[in-house]
Amino acid sequence: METWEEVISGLERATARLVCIPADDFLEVAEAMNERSVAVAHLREFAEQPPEPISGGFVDRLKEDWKRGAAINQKLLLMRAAVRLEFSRAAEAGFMARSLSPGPTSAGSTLDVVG
Amino acid sequence: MGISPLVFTGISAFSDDFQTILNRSVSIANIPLLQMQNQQTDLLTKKQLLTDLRSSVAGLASAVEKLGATGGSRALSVSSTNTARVTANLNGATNASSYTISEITSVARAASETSASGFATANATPVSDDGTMQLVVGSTTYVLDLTAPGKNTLNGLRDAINGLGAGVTASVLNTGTGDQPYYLSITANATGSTTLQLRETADDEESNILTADNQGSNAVFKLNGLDVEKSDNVINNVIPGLTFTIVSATGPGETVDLRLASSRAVLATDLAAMVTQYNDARTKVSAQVGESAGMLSGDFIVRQLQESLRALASYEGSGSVKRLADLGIEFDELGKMSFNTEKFYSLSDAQISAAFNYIGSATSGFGALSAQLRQISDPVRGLIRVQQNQYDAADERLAKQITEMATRIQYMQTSLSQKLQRADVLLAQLESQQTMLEASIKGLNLTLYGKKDY
Repeated sequence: METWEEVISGLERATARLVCIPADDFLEVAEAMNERSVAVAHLREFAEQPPEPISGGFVDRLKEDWKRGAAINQKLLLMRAAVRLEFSRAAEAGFMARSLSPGPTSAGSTLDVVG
Repeated sequence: MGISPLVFTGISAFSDDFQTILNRSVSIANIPLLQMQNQQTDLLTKKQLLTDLRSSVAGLASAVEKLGATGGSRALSVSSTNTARVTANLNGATNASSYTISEITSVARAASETSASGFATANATPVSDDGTMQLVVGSTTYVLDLTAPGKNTLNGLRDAINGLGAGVTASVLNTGTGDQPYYLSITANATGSTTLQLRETADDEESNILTADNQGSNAVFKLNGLDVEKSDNVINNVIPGLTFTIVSATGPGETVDLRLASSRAVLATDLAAMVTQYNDARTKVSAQVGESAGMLSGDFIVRQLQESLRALASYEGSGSVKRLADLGIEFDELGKMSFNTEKFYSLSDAQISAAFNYIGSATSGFGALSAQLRQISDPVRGLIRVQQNQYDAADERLAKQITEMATRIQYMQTSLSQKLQRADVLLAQLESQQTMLEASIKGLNLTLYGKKDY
């Protein structure tokens, strides 16, 4: 029979994995995020009919895990802001490149000096 | 406009992580857009400068070339004291001289006769009893065969004459008067005295059916007292390098003088034009030399032009006039040319003659200097054109790089857009987890402590 220790440990492992993964490694982050979603859902189901009473120490561990989740959230927000900034820089560079590019129908900047 | 690199200096514990993220991703800051933009601007500027330079050098080359040609012709011009009698044009003469034309007793004109009698029709009335006639033009005779059906008419005769290539032109005149209004007209194609007859019977002058009013005439006159007779009024083989035209006969004792003389004004105009063009070219070349030099600084064409300008400014000949200064062309301390016309017009005739020797011809002296300038300014093969071609090639390469860069940036934008979407999904997912976890904690708190406080 599963115990509080096992359920909470599972959640903590999923959260720890999320903390370790670089924020821009979206594929791995997404995988770890799914794993944590499963752990959180399992915790909720487990808490509805626990086989044993929960102790204050377990609740404190859950609160700690929630704090780590909040930190991950902050990390993701910052990462998104960075990407957004990079995107705006790319847009700026793209505009500049297009303005410099002769384009498919342009005759270029060749000067005819004959005559 | 440029792209500055992204740097995180925030106090967040994740600042280093995000700097790493950005550094690891394809760095937009490393895209040499600014460099390419500068290259493109430089190329365009250089090409524009070369175009301006070529225009100036071409102008100088033309001015120097014209000066050389003037030297070759010694700025000769010809005048006639009476253009109603004789006109004249230079045709290569190189020496000043004077000629007198007198006793123009005849002006050359073309022979022109008509049939002595008319014909009832142009297309039916026979013009010959046996259908054979003889045309005489000068000392040459031509047989006209009109025996073919429908050819023994005035129109047939006209066509037969015109088909001979005998140097005459036949036409049918319709006077519209009387029963026989149609006449044949024959006119020589060139001026000069000749014989023009149309004989019914071969070799029988008595059978000539044409009038004998105008058998053409020669130009007859005296040149410096010598008898001259020419079949044409335009005479280009009597005085070397001079073509003159007899316009009308002179009266008794009347003479016409043709004078070939060097023109100081022509030489002065050419020198002034060269000075203007020289200063224009010098200004543009100087702008590419020195501390505040333009984009062509150090370009071999600029050095080449400097040498050519120096060669022009310091060109020396031999004789009493052997440098530009002798002609009144002066230089200030900056090397700018000016033309002292007072000094120029104070030169003696002998000095002007020496000036033409100094200037040379179309192929020597200044003519040769112009050829050097043409080697630089020629719009097809000149050094400037060659350099511009190289810039064009570089511009094309750059345009290709820019196009490739634009494609790369477009890909980056797409990739970053996808990242943003994924980040949004992850954040939403995490928010859901936190909400659910918070609810679970509150529930457990209620169970454990009888309160929902988190």
